[in-house]
Amino acid sequence: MASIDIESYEPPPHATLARSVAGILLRAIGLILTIMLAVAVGIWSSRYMVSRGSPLSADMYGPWQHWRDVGREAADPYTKAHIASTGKLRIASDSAGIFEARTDTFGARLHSSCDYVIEGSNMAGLWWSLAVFDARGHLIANDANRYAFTADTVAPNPNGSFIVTLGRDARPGNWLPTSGAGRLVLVFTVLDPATGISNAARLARFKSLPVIRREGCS
Amino acid sequence: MKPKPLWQRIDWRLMLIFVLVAAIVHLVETFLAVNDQRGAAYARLARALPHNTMTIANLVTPEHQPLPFLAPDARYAFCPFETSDAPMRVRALLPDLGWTIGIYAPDGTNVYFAAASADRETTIDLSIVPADDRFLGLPAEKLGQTGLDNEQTIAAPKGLIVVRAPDKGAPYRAQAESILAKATCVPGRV
Repeated sequence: MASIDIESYEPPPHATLARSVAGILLRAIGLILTIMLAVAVGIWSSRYMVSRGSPLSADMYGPWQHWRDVGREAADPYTKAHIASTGKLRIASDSAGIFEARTDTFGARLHSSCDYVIEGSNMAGLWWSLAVFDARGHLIANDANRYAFTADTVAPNPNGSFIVTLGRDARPGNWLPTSGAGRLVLVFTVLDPATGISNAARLARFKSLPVIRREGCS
Repeated sequence: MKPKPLWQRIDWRLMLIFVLVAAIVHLVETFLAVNDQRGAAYARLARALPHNTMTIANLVTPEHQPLPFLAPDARYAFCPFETSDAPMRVRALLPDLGWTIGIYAPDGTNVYFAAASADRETTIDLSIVPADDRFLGLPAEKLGQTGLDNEQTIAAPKGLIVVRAPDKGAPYRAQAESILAKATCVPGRV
């Protein structure tokens, strides 16, 4: 007949038991905090890469951001999510170049409290437009009803280049009012020629995007 | 007692769990955003505009801005379409530089795009059929008869047609609008 030697069992002292329970609790709390932090980082990083872009989906040319595969069937998930979540209607990147700037050429955030000069080179027969929006993509109401300049409406320099100024107060020339919009976003669109464009010509265009220079802030 | 170096104090199992959970949540969140089309341009316009009809939108102003970041550099005509009942026939004239026509899938993919050239006007004649009925082209003799520049067939079950007329300023708006008004999208036979 089998017997159990119950006398050999010695309960652990209270201090050891308390230490074990505390250790388990601490580990559980550490695990829960780690998972919560990981969830937050996962959501934040996804939203940031979708809304602001990253080198995986967008290229920077000075202050101008260009979503590489926008409008293309083979666009990456970040680009597709960006278009879906922002409600933008964009021409595919193999038919036009669409560039967004949130900073000036020196990296400072575009803001309606500052005046800017935007200098662009001769676009040689291409149709282009430059429009200013607030940070949420809304047009900025102004008495002049002026929200954009295009190849048709800008007053160019004699050599075909152009200068557009951005500011709250009226100026002579190609002035785009910014009122009290706060943070600004510039959108520069260049349509490809109807006959298409070579990759080399497209890259050359990327290198000659307008320069955004801050003149002063009030 | 000498303290342990930093790499020995890190709980590598927790670190691994952190990286794995963050990566999985990142991927799930991104793909949820891809599939959430409620705020996409097509969904916004399809809610507001009649389907299978070309509608000329008001001049884009702060009061009439149907989509965020929609440039006010052009007049737009929109046609949300569905080809489930019948194929769509799309016709548009692109008279000058800056005029374009684009066909977008609901997710914003450009399934077709054409821009006018500076030296001649372009006539667009398109047929849009459901994906499984894709028609691979018209016979050469028929193309010769029509004399149109761009007679093509595109496969898309639903989407958005956008004709864009560059805004050259008030004196040119009536003319641009009259050309834009001739753009059509009608259900009909291919």
